[in-house]
Amino acid sequence: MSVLRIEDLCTHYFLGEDQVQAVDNVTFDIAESEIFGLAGESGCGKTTAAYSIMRILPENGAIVNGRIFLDDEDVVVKTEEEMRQLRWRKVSIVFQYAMNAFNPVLRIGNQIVEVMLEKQSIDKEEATKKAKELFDEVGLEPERIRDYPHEFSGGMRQRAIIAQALAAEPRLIIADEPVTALDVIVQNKILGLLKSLQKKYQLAVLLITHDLSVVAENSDRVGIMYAGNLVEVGTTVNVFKESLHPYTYKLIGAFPSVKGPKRRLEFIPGTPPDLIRPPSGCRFHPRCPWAQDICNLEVPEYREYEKNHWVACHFAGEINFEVEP
Amino acid sequence: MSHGYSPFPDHPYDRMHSDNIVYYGGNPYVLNNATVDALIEDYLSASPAELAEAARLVQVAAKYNIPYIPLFLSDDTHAIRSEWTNYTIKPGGIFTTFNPQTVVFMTSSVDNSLFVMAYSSDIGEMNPLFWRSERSHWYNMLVYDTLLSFDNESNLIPWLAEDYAISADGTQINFTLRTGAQWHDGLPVRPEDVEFSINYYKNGPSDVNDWPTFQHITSTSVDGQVITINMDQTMAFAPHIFGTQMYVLPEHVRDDAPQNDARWDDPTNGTAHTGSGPYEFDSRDPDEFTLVTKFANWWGPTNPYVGQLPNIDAFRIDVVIGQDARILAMRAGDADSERYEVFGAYVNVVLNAPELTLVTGLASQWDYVLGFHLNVTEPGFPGLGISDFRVRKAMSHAIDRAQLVNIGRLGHGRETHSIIPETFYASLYHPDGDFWEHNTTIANNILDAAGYLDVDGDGVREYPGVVLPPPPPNLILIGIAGAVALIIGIVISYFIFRMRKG
Amino acid sequence: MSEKKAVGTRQYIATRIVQTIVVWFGIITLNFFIFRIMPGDPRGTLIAEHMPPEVVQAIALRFGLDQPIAIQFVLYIVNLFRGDLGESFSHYGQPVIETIFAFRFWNTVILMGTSILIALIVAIIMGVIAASRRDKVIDVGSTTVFLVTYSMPVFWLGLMILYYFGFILRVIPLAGTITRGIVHVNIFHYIADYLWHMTGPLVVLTLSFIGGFYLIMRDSVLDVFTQDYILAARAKGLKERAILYGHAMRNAMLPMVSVIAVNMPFLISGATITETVFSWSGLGLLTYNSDVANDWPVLQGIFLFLATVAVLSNFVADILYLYLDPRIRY
Repeated sequence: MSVLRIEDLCTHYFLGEDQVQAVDNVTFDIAESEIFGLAGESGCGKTTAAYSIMRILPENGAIVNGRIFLDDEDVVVKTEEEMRQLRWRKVSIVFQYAMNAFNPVLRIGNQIVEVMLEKQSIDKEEATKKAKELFDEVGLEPERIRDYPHEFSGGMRQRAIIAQALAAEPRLIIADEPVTALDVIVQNKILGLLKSLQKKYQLAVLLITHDLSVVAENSDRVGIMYAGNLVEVGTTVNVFKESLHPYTYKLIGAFPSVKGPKRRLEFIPGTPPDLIRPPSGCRFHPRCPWAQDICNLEVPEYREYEKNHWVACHFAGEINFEVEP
Repeated sequence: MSHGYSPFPDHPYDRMHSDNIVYYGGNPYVLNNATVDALIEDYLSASPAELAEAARLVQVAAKYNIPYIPLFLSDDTHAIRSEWTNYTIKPGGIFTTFNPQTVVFMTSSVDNSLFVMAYSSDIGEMNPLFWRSERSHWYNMLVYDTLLSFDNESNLIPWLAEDYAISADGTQINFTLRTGAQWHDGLPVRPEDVEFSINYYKNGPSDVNDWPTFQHITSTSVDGQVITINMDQTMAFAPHIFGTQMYVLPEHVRDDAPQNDARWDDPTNGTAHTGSGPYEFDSRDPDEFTLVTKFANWWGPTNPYVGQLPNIDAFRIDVVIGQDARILAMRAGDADSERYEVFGAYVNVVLNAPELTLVTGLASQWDYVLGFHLNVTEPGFPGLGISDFRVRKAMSHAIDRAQLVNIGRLGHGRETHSIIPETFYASLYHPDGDFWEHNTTIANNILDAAGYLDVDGDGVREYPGVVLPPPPPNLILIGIAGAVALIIGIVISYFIFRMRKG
Repeated sequence: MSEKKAVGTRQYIATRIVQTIVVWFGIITLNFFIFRIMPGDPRGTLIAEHMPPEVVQAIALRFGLDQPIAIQFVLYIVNLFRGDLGESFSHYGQPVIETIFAFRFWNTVILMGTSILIALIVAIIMGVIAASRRDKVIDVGSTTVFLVTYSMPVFWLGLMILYYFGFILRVIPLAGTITRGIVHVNIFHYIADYLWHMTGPLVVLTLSFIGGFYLIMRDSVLDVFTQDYILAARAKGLKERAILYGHAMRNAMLPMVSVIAVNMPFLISGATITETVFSWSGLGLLTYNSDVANDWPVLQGIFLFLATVAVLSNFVADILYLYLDPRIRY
């Protein structure tokens, strides 16, 4: 049984007369204790998808279509109050900017205790004890739960954020660019921590990042998003070694690889499309070197090309990526 | 500038005598003229027989020296609820401190139990020896008695005293105390109380009101009901000051504490405010109200100039700060009148209020004058400008008083032409002292003759002897000359340069 | 680390105390000379109403106004430290301390304190509500209303209230802090009478204060709403009230501390115009009357007191920030 299942999710932002189709027809699922990496360029809709799951979209954003199941409960149809009760208990989030995700005038411990008291039937003393344990768990000195956010370094704060995410014992953690703001050494430590906790607590993790190397090294499965669409989903090996979608191929090519032979970095010509008026057919076709007429005319079906390897491309498997026309 | 006239004209000393040249605030505009000083001194020390002529001379001296120019008296445009009648019309207005008659005679067609006077700010001090404003003075008048008062022509009349007499040389004054007068606590007012009061004023600290006049007293004595004051010199207005400015105070209350003791200003100490006036002190809340109630045993009925007790049972002084609020309070019946007259646009507000009457056609005690700072001179022009009598005379000719009254008081005022104006002091005014007529031609002629000419044609006269400065140099000409010189210089340099090379 | 902070904080507080004292000394000096360099002379006012010049001289002598200015200054400082602010010119012979503190101070503090408190509470609540319902009817409505009250001239508002509620409807009194000439039955009667008289000025002052407070609060909350920790709090599934009052308001209140500190002298000085319109005998009215009467000692006393309150409240605000905002460190 999957912890999270998203079907045909469409989330739009309303800007006056216009609608930004930030997430369009996205379907994927995450199994228990699985790390699912969601990758793509900035602005491709990764964070919007995450906020849709928690239903914490800004006021002008709305889920216009689709269903989101958390343990077979559809969160889209829930009332705001039901949703509020569900948050953190089923799914918690590790924010992109740990720097500002804690209220600067409240002690960190209190902010963690606060959510425990809200989500679990325990008293304050117990919650404080638990918060200390969590601190210990994430590698922070337990007595420092009395510190204020500004007294922590960036890495410490990220650890505290992770501790907070674990506070209500959720089954799914959304890690939205959890290490982007950190330097490389701290990044690896945090990711290692995240992974070990995931194993220990059998957590499902939705790991959102623009950094393909992070995804490649930490995920069981990977989804690649482009311009609000999920273009390819599969096991990490499949997606990285046997890419089916031209965008996936190009994206991987645009990243430096630590291992393997040195090569010239490639870049993808053109810019991501305007999501108010996205291109017809396949949204990637204006930038795709292998595009044909059909790509302009028809939206490619999101299909399971081979077992557990989904793709949305008319010519999946038919393109020789080595040769550009 | 504006001043307040007292009921007797001793103000020429304050406004003209060189003693009062002071370099701060108050009174900078007095003359420094020994002849005028002597005339004023003669006036203030005149015996009763000499007084009228001395007053004439002072008025004439003012006309020919112009220490200041009298302009007009404002009208006593008092607002009062319409049901009140029978207030006493006196120069100065219906509610001056020298008009206790209004308080006694005024009556209402509706209800005589209470009269509320709205004050724009509270009484500053209750102690009658130290009143510092007419507001406080007016309260003092309700609670305390003076020996004498004034009739409607500003002549002295018996009040608490039933008679008074002045010796021919003016150095001895006898007051005959009325019999049967009582203090508010029921004890009789004795001639010894009067003698005590005189010496109480005299021996007080120097900032007791009228203290310097009291210092001229050499001895006092009591014989039956008669109190005698002997002085070391004649003082024209001594009867006025001792008779109408000094409040008679009870010896049995006052003799055990100094004149400026705090108790005399303490509203919680009722005994401290014992007087013999028509009203006795009841209660007071500072900045809120002061209440006095009718004194049933007042001596009024025994005085032929009064002949009755007051009609009103109680007076209350309420503090109502804003003029708008006071008018609303009067219209609402919360107040019956206000301490000072209404000004400007408020005159019409009162005229349009059906509940209120505007007292008009009566001069107030406030007089407006054009004062000069005679102790400054323009550097380089000693004795000229304002210091020059001819300039002041021309200004005196140039002033249109009727226009000033129209603009300044919307017509509610009356012109004054003498420093002792007829409106206020009919008996001492003399037409010889009338100021220069309004005539701008004469004014211009005086200035022309004196050499104050408009040399530069800008509409403002210059001091005598000022000549036109030489015309400014012609800039275009200078420019052309400079340019020509430059060209010549360049040409010459060029040739010199070539010659060297060659 | 917190040890280090404690040392820094102690040092900071010590520095601020020294600064405060220096500023205060500067103010008392300025306070003395500012009256001496102003045009106008108290003796001038004292003789305005038929006061013989000899008496004026005598008064000058009594108040030491004939002394050289340096001597006057020394006397002023010496007397200041003996708690003697001199005697009022216009309340003859009354010590300034009494003139200021006997009852006027209390009248002002009660009136201003109540109105500032009400204005603050209403402004904070309405500011939070308006910000959380941005651009909805309640936001636009309250912003419009408070902008209007904020920009209304106080004397005009006061006079309108006086005219319509005092004169036409006769529901509030026209002047004073109590009904004149009555003897109050007991303390409750007095309090009721006092509160009834306070209605008019209270409404005017509250309306005049509320706008500024409200706009600052609303703005501050809106600013806080854009912060990541509010999104985080929402993601944590906290109750809306907990987010609003536990997270948003605490941060949004920080600027209000400065606002309150800045308004503290106002609390003391009173609103001269409102006190004048309603004949409310407070320090504002005293300032006005003393100014008209050139009553230097009283003005000096009021200004000194005001400056002291201003300096102290700023000091307290700075110290308060140390505890309200843990980010501040020295």
